[in-house]
Amino acid sequence: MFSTIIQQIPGEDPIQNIVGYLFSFLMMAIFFLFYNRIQMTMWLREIEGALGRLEIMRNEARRVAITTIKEAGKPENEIDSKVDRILDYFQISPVNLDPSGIVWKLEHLIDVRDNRWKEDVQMMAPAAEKAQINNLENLLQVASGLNLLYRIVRHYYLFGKKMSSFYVIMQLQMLLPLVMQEADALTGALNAFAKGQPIGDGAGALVAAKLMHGKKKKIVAKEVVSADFKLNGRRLLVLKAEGPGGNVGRPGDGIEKLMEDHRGKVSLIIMVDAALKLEGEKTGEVAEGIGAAIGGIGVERYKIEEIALKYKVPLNAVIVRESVQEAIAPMKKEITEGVDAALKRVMQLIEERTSDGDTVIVAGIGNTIGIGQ
Amino acid sequence: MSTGKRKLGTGLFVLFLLAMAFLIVISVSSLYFGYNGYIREEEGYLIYLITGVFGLMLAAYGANQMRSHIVVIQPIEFNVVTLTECEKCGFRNIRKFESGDYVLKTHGDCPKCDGQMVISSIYHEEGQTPGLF
Ligand SMILES: [Zn+2]
Repeated sequence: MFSTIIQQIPGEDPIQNIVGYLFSFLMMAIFFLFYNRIQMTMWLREIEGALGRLEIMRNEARRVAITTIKEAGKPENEIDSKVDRILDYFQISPVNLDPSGIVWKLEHLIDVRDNRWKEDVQMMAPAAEKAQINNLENLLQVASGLNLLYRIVRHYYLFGKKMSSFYVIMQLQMLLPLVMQEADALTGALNAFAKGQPIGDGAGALVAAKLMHGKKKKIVAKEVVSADFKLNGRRLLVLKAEGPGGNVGRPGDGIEKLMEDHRGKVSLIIMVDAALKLEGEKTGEVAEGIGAAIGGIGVERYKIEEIALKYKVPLNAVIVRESVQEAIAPMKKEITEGVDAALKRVMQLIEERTSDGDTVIVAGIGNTIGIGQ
Repeated sequence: MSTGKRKLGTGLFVLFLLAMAFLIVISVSSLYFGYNGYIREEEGYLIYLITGVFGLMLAAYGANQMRSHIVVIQPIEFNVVTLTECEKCGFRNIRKFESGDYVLKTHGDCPKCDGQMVISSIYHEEGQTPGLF
């Protein structure tokens, strides 16, 4: 019977053919049965590679932070363990079951966190100046961001491996490009923060700085500086975070203070900020819109929207487009050109939307590291 | 950033290279048999050709995977320059960024007139070779 089957198989050498058939059948069976396994192993290898890179990045960030603090602050004691402690700081978001009033809780939390970081940096770097302390704090935040990314990716990697969960690993693998993009951006930011160079996010602050350069300035809110002057018949109230240390200030408080000081007699608020571009768009492109152009967790935006609503003042936004990486890397030439274009756009807006004798608030939003006023 | 290689045991690496060499030898000889079969108009040459092509594709894929595993992390060091400008006559000077520079910082007297030099911008250009200025 066996020989009759063999005779039915085409070809010259039946034995050779049957081996071939068996082999291909076996391959197919392996593929059907173990496809998930094979796929998972490949994904795990990919994630392992990314995890290794993340670990290197995290260690490098820690090293840069420690050396910079030592250089700038002349610490008396060993700071390594202190830095490790700071890198592990966490923050618990306020409960949002009853969202009314959550903005103020958030603001309070951010206040506490900022003070905590600043105090710690001050203790570690007693010789550092105010601007340097701000830069060091920013640097530690970058390092802490990388640390968090590394820990989260490691968690899901180990968890997925332990549970042999196809779907956990699949999700992690799919998110990997985004995570690595973020990590690359943070690593690129290390040097800028360590040296105090202006970053892409400072585009808005730079517009305001150029406007208020040479004018008399005063502090209107925590780490917010403002100038009050006349230009083309309009009264301009320009504000930005106080530079050149790395900090974003409290532009919401600043705008609120200026509005109350003028009892709401403001015809226009223009906010200038860096905004994320989409892939394919040009870096440094300027666009115009309405609304409060300010990122972050939403506390500052909430305050600005509230005060604009209270006095029914139109909110206008001018943005300079850039990518996530460009926002925290040293400022690109295209962005400095975008800043000049944004400045022109602001002047044009004022010209078109207001008339002689009007008061206009121009708020430059963003991290003012490396930008004076 | 310091050079960091993905940890990959040398033993495993040698094994991988051997496997790759074996795969390439098999594929190339299979292609050769297939070609010969085609020339002599023998039956079954197609299976040899297909095996050879697939083997080479697999080898290329493996090599690509390997390359992405031995990625060396490059230092991210931007060549940042400081542009200073005289407020009076517009004389411009460009140099490497120095620690302590910030935009709108007054930066000494102008060498051409009695105006003041101010740092007008600090930026980096992509594709700049370091040490150009
Ligand atoms: Zn001059």
